[in-house]
Amino acid sequence: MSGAAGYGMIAGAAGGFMQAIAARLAQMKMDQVYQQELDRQAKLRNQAYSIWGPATEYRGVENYNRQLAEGAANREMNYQQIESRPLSFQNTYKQGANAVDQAAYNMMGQRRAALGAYNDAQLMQQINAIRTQNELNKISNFSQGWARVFPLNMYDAQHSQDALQAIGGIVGSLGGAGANFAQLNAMPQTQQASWSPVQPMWDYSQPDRYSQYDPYNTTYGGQLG
Amino acid sequence: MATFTTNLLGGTPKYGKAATLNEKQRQQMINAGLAQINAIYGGGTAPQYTLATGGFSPTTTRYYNLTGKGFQPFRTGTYSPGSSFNPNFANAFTAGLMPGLGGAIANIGRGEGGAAAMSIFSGGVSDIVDSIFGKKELTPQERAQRLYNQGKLFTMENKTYEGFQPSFYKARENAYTNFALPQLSKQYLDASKQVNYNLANRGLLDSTAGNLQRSDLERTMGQAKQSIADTALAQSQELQREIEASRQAAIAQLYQTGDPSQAVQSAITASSQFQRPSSFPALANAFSNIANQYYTSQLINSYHPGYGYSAPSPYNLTGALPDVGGY
Repeated sequence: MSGAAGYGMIAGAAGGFMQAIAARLAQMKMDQVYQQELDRQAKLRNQAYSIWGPATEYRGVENYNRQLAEGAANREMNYQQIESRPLSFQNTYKQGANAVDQAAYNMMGQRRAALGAYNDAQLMQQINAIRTQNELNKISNFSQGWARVFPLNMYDAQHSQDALQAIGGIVGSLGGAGANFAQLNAMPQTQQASWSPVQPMWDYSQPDRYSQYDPYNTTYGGQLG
Repeated sequence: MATFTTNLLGGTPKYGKAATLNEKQRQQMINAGLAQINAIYGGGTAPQYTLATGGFSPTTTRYYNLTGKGFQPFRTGTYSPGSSFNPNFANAFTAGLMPGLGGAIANIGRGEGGAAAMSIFSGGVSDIVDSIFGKKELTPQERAQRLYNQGKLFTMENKTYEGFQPSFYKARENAYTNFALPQLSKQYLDASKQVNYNLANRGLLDSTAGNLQRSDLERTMGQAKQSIADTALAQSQELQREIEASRQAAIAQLYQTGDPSQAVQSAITASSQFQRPSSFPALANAFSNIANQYYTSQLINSYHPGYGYSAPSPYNLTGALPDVGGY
């Protein structure tokens, strides 16, 4: 084995090794990017879950009952306020509610407030649902945004070792060139390279060869050379 | 040299890095927009970032640019409000004395016209050279100028919003109550007069029947008042629903456009529309039943007198009362 062949083999092996290392590093980088994306999505998922939990608890009957009570109390207060507001007219004969009428007013107001409180609670629930949805939409939007970036990050990771890959390719090709050179040197020389000048058509130092081609052996008296 | 080797041999794609930065900026912009929308609707203070326009003036204006960590003050190194030093003085001086040359120098200084004029030939070459050897470092002010020209610099203003507080919705309730209650009062007064006149006409003003009819009137009045309170609350709640829907629409627009200033403007416009006074139909007569009741009874009584009614003598032709019935 000649020296060139040895160097070629070493260079080829080194180039291949560098390319293998590059591929392995790129794979590790891709794994890392994938793990980062998983972590990022998991963080967003956890945020969404922690928003969803309390919002769902808000929909429970315990909270609903509290909202009903608040709504009813608010409506009763409204009824009392509007009842106590002075009216813009002068008193006529025996105007104004007596005690019985006032009691009827209060009782009717309580029942009316209890009924209307369902609307109030429903409104609170509706607003809570809208705001929860808004917060979840934000997280979903961010998640989609990261998902759009992920393929590009993977592409970068996949090509992160392109330089090492290229250098490995160059080194490997040098090894191939060395091997070719060594192979060329190691070939046995089976024939000598020769060079012959062009034969002149006429050599005046020789007898007339034209007669050689005189098939009739005519009068020139030529002899066969 | 490092740039050289990096660009030729170590050059790896930066698409992911660029996209990651872009995504972070988009999310930070959404966060800024949401903060402002929440302040507008819920009350509070939030910074409002507006694209810088009206000329680049780093000495008098603090600029902000959007980074992966949100809007950050851009350090031009020359921002000093109140300072007598003006780096634009040289440009102003040359432009004033030698308008043509001064303008050209100013353009070159800004990297606009000069670069554009020379880039026809040298641009391609310089790009290739830059790509191999790297670009020359820009001063902070040059970078700020470039970002300004690219429309990437913002000005900031902290704004305080009142928001839609419970007092706002309570005021909406009161607005309807103030509108409807005087009408109800007038209706009550008319109905009360009709009842009392009718009772007096029949001699029942101070009777049990009269008290019952006046009690009916009062209870009808109570129901009407509670209806007004309920209507006022319902209208207030409807307004609350609409405002919440408007808030959601502004947020959706923020997501769609990625431009909080546009979405916030929509939010402000929408909120101002809700505060406009509305027109309401006049209050329906709450005492129509009672009025009809007494009007009808008056007509009926005129033909069919009730118990205790003393019919006039058919021979009494003086005719103070109608000469019907009693037969």
